[in-house]
Amino acid sequence: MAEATLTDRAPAQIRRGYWRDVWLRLRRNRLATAGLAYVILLVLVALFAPRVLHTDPIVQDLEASKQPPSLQHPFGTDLYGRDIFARVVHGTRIALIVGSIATLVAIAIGVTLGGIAGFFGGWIDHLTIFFYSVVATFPGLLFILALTNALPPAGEPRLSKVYLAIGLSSWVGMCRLTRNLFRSFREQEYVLAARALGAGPLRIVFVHMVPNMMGFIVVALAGGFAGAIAAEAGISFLGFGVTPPNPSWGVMVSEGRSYLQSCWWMIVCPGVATLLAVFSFNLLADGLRDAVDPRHETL
Amino acid sequence: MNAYLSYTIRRLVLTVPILWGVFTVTFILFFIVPGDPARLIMGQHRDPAMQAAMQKQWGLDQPKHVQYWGFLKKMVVLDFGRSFTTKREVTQSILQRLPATAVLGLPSLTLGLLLGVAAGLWSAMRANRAVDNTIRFVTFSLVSIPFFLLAICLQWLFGQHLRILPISGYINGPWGWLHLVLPVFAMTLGSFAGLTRLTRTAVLEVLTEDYIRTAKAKGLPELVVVVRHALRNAMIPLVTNLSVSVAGALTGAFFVEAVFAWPGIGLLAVDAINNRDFPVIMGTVMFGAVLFVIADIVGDLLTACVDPRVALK
Repeated sequence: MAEATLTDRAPAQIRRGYWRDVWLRLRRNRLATAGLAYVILLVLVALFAPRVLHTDPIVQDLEASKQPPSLQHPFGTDLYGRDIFARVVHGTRIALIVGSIATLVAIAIGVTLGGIAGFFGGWIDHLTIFFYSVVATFPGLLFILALTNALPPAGEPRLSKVYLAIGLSSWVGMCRLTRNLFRSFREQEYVLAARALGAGPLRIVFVHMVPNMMGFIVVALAGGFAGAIAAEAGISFLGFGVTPPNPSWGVMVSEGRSYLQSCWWMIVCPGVATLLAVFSFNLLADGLRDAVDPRHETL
Repeated sequence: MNAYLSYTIRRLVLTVPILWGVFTVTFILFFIVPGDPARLIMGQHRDPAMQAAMQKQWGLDQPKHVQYWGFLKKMVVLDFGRSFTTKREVTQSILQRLPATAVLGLPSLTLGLLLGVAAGLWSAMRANRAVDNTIRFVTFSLVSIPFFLLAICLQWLFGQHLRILPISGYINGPWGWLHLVLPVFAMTLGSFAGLTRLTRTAVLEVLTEDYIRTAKAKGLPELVVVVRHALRNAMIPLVTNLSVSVAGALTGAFFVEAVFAWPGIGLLAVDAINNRDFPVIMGTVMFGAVLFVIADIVGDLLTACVDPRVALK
């Protein structure tokens, strides 16, 4: 919940302490803080756990097939005797790589296109609207799958195709938002002042306008992570994303499905990992939305 | 009525370039990329003579722009040609699969809407109390859970653990309609969660308006105030977002159909991409696009209908 007192300050102070205020407001939201804590844990696991953990996530050990969770294998083993704990840990890395690159691609395209459209208006604006209308009209999942199919090198499954496809298909929301924001920014005094002082379009956009929407970008970043992780797991589950034996959570869920009755750990562990990751990024996004814009009513 | 008609016609005309854009993007994504569908379909048993014959049969040996115009001309009259793999007419296959998807989508959207509006309303009336917090937590979790996981959870709980419902396959036999329960349930949960959150926000916003205070001040019971006065205006964003709900249901259908082996359009599209069956891919993409466009126009028309402040332009 946002406190009114934090916002009732002189503009100069707000400018100086904006991110500090955001942080204070975010910290007061316990669920969002929990989400942030889990996100930090995930990042640490993705960065360091594969180095600390010496179990290989891909090497098969058919003798140890389908073992339930034990001290040696905390999450049990799968059909090929691979340690599921190691696979879930390495899967964190895949999920975060996909999440970060896909989201950055989407935000970069969205902010650039939307910024150009909103700033210049005219036929550029119409062209951009046409562009994002086409992408928005394309059935979402089919667009991702079509892109994974089309990206080079043809026929070879690559992680880069997965994150590029997700990124290239999820910029519409950001583009629309940036366009509308920039159209309203354009009319404001500070832009007029900058223009009167002789600032060029690039300077106005990047020095004056983009910082004004950093709050939205941060929210989109957290939300984009959640969406991209879910999308990667989803398309990998359908068999179009990360391919076996690579330890993507979606692949693991898909492999574990046949053994739902006898070996629950094969599906529960990667499933819960996906769920918690998406959930905590969403909590963080929701908390950030309230924190960056105190007027926004919490959902 | 005249205003609605001319608005609809104008919107439909504006839709044409967008559908053309979707067609062109699909064509580029599947036809400009290397990899010959004929070769892919033959798989291991490759025979150059047969491959050439197949290419000729489907016109794949012609220059790309000739193929593009050929496809575009036929698509205008809703003819997508024949499937590369099953040799059936694409339009026929889609129409044949349509009931299976509709029988999942329509009930789940309706149920999701009814339950979502009710839950959102209840949640807003008890804002920040236990009921509200519970509803928000549940819907937030539902929005966060990837759709295929939700479907698998339901399949396991009701089909394999409790053993009260069939876990997959299409309606058949006297108790066949039971096959519908789990997929519809899964899809309902999906649309329910989003619509509950939307309703709650909208109602909370409306509840601060002056006319609500007036209604309360003249002594109307809370339920009457909320249902008769607040809900009417809170419905506007729900109606405007119709296309978003339909698009969400369509994406949900892909996963639900895959998990429950449901022979609908989602499964048709997924199989087609697997086989690089270009005519079918184009057919299903255009089907989804047209559905989205229609939902968008209907949503805007309904918005103008329920909100006199909105002028159709």
